[in-house]
Amino acid sequence: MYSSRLQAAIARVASIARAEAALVIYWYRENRTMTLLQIAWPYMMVFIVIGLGSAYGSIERFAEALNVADPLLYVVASSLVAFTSIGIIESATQVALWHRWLGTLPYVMLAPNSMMLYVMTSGVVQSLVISAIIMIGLTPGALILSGPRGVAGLFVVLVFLLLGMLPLVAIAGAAAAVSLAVREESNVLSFLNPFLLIVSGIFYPIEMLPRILESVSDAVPVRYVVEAARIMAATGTPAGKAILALAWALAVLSVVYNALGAPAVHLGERVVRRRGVD
Amino acid sequence: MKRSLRMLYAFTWLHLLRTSRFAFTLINWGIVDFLWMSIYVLAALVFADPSDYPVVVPTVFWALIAFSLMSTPVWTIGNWVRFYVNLGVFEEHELTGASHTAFLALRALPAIPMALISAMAASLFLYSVTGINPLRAAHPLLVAFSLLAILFQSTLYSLVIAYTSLATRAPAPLLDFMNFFLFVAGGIAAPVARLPEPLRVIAVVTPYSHPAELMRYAVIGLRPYLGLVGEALATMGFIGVLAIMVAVISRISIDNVRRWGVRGIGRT
Repeated sequence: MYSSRLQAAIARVASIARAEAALVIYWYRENRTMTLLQIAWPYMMVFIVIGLGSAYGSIERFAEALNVADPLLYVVASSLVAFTSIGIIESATQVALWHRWLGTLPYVMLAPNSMMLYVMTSGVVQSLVISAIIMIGLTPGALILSGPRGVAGLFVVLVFLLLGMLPLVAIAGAAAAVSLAVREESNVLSFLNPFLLIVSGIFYPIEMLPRILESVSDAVPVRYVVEAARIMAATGTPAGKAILALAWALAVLSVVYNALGAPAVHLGERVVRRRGVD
Repeated sequence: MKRSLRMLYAFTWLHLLRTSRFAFTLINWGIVDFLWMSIYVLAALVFADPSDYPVVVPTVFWALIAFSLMSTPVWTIGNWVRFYVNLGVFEEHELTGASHTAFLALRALPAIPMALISAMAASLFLYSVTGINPLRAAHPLLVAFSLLAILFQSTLYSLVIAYTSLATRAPAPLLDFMNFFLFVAGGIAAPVARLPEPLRVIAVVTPYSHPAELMRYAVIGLRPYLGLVGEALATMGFIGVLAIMVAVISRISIDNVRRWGVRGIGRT
């Protein structure tokens, strides 16, 4: 009985994912300017970090402070992390808010599938498509900067990015529910994205942060993704106990976060249904 | 005249009402701005020698405040044009003969409290990280003037991209790519004199670099590239140029809409 229920749930998620993937790919195919700019933004972030930093200091000092042999590859990999790892929260919330703006949210709520299942699955699919586009866009940059080793490093970071998305699925659903419940015009929890990045020590040693934020960073999944990027830029190899330990940390966080987040998502959906959407 | 004043009063009142109605959104965006600002400041500090922090921290901090004033109107005006069209408010204004430009330009008002929230939070955060007060400035009035000039310029620039967005249907934040490039290459993040030769030329023709040079003089006493008077004149001159651009591009876009009808703008 449980097995047939699980199969039905998987089939529902798969059908939503297929439909969402078709929609997102269609958007990007039809709007090439948007696709090109999506690829260009991470390069812009690399340009800003290197340009701003070089105006006030040197890249050698940056490499020394972060203990990385290849600082440029590290900045490229960190930009990939910055643009994709936390995107799932934004994507899920945007899906819900966009339907509200269009007036189609009541239809989503009336559909046989749970609204939050739809919102979270759509968020995951959008994040995956965006990650793939950005990864394709950054590959030539990594190849020029560090050769095939740089591309391999970027792929390892991508694997960690996908692992790093898992703990954020329930948070994304809860953020979407909160944004709908407070009836504001945009995602009122979008500060979570830069907050998760700032406590992850994305372009600086974590020790620079105040002690309290340093402690918070231990529980933030993105920190382990950034750490993986740092190990890749320092050693150039995905092997070793350190990388495995990071993968384990992300697996544990996925279980904990989703176990804690699932009731919040359920409650959020109930609140939104009770209050209605306008 | 009386009609124009009444229109401006109504627009201001409506924008402020909307800002208070969506207070969580305002606070959220202030925090978002502060956090992104802090990420870039911390990244810049890793490159710098800690003995240079007393100069680097306030300079980078104020440069990022300037950037916040440059980019926030792109969202509050440029991106909002999408809602202006999608909600059918464009047609309402068109039918009543109200000014689209005045309505959109006054959307810059929410950018001010947003910048204040982010500036206060970022200064406290940087003080806790470095022990240096980034709000310290040699000439506070000149800082205020330069920030106001940047806000004027960015409002005009945002109107240009809002009308471009209306004509091209591309979402405005995607058209805002130039802002990020100019932040580094256009003499906002770093003094114009310290940029390499080709970038120095770009910086001189970038409107924002001139109030940014005035700001650096006001904060750390760094001599402006074109001199104090030269930079002040260039700042005002660029405001005039941008105003002319708004007048021309808005006319073309509105004529285009009147001829072909209102068309939806893509999602970011």
